[in-house]
Amino acid sequence: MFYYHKKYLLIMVALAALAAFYANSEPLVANNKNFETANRFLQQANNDEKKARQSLVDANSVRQAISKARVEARREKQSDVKVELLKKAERLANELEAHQKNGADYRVQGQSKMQLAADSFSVGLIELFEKWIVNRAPLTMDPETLDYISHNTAVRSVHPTMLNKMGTAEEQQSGNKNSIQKDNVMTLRIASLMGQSAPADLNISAFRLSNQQGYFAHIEVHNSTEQKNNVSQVPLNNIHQWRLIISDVKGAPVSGKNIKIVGHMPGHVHGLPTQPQVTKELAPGVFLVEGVKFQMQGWWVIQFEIYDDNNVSKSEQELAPLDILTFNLIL
Amino acid sequence: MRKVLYIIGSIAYASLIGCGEQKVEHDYSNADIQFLSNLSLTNLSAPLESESNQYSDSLAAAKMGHRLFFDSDLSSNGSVSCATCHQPAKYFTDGLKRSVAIGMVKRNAPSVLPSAWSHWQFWDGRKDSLWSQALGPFEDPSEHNFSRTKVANHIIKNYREPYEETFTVIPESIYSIVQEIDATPLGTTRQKSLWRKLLPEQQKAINQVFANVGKALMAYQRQLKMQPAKFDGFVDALSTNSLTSSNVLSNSEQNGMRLFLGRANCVSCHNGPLFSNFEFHNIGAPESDKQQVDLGRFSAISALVNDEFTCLSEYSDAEPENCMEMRFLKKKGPELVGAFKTPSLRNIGKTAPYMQTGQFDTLEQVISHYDMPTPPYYNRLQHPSRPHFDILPLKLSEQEKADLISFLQTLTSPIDSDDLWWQAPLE
Repeated sequence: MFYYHKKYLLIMVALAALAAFYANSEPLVANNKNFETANRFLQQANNDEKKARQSLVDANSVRQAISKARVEARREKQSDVKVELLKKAERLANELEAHQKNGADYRVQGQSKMQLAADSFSVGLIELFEKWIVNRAPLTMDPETLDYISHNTAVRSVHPTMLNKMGTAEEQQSGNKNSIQKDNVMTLRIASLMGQSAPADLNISAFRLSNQQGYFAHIEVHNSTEQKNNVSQVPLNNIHQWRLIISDVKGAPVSGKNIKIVGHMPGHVHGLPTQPQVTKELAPGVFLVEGVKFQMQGWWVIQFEIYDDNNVSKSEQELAPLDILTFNLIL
Repeated sequence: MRKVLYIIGSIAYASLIGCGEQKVEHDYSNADIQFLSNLSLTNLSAPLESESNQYSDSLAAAKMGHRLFFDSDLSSNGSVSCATCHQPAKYFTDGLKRSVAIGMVKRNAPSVLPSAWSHWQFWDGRKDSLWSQALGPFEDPSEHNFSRTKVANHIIKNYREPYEETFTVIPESIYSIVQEIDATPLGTTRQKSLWRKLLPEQQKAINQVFANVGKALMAYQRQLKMQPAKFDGFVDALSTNSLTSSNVLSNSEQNGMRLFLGRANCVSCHNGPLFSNFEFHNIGAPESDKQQVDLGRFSAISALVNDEFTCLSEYSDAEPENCMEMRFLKKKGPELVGAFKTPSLRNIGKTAPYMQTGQFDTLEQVISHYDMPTPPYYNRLQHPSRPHFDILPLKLSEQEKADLISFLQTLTSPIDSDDLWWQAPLE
């Protein structure tokens, strides 16, 4: 009896020590069930995506076999062989349809699993950085700053070679003749996404999984280091601050990394008007981003390239980022 | 019965409006009026707050700056002042393609009227404040062809009292140095070598006086105000529901305004009450010297990084961490190559010629360029990368081009002959 007690006691002491260890090591990685769930969904999503791709590859080879059978059938003189070949083509066509349907189904399934993974990661990240994450909404433009500067239309920047693809003055004139004079309604507020083709289902979440699926991160706007000033609206033409909050996919804060910020507008050739920088790690995994400024409304892509801190000696050209976090903003 | 009511109503209406001015109907929506009012001078904010110049809104500094601005003794031949190229009667420009002072200047003299609202100064933005900008021309051989020791000497001889009242006491130890030595780190070999022979504290004392001269000039330029132009009168009348035949824009002007804000996309960059975003763009204006191309903003970056008088310098009044534009300066990117600062369009009808070296003589030529632009000149041997291009052909009709020009003419402010800041000081 005593023997058993001693054994239990040992186990309990070991458990207590383990618990104490985890309690002291910041933060409580092991307790975050959401990351486990998220990883399970992520794995399923990846498997589905792999199956989707395989189905589409299979579909492709079946499509080639169909063409081959049809060509052979056309050339075949003997009618019974010809019929056989056409039957084969028909059978294959059914197979093709099945492959295509499979591929599409797996893709949809994978995407919904990916969404579930992202949701769980988000919940996990919010739990992990409870006192840091204040604002979960996607970023928007502060309308008050917008009205003041009236920067409502898009500067469209093109490569010089694009000019000859713009049609001629005559074409333009015949299409729009006197349109301004006829149309007396003021159309001052030109759609800010003019000339940009942001997909309708663009993911503009402030929570994103990295390109290589190594990290999960969140961005939010701060107008000063005081947390109370947090808003989800960025001001136009004003330098302001962001917080970038990163964990790895296992739920551990990502600390001591070099992070480079690159921004651009798809459909334009220009980037940000300033060079924002990570100036401080406020806490493990919580990075202060300073110098962010947007000079235009529209679709922006902001990328955070994560570099290993140990590689600082290498020249810029030699360095490849460990991973990249990509956020889409519709401002 | 209805007819009688109509007549009574008409009489009442006519007596409300009065005899001379006829109330004008319009179809601008409230949102349109709200939008237009953002472009009116009435809604112009105060100039940008200056972290690096604590004297920027000091009246004493402005008064001293006023004298300095018109003082032609601050030049090697005694005949060039700031006002030589920035003439009040020409809205603080000189009407030349490229300015002429001691020699011929590299670029066209922009108006100083909107500069207090811009983070960056000069066409390429190679200065990050108006006080630092003011120091450049003094030591440029083709402008004032002066040196900082000569500037300091002139201050000691002619401005010591207002200077010391506004800023600080000038150490007597530099009195004789600046009287005897013509030195600057930016000048000729001889001037540079003389500068190097000075002790660091002597250099610093001279630089301090020089920097404060810039700060006084900045304070002066912040006092320069523009009178509302015809466009502002129109917008303000719309906002207050008092549009009459005397303040309404003509049909051509209104069509031009619609084009400006709409299909011609001008407002993309020429926005806000000063009609500029003060950012850098390449619109492919013809290259004036193909043997030595102007890299614009691209070259300005290294000039800014090496400048002695930026917000980050010891002569700045700002805490370095508050110098946001310099701390997060964009140093790389193809869009910097050949890019120049968007000029304000205020008084544009009176400030020809146009572009950084006056490539266009008339607004007609400017509009023709925007209508069917030529892509920027590119020379692999001279450009670090293919220049970026910021505009698309507009393909306007001749009437539309004329309307656009009519609208631009409504941005001319009348010159107030009673505004003393616009005139040479009396003393």
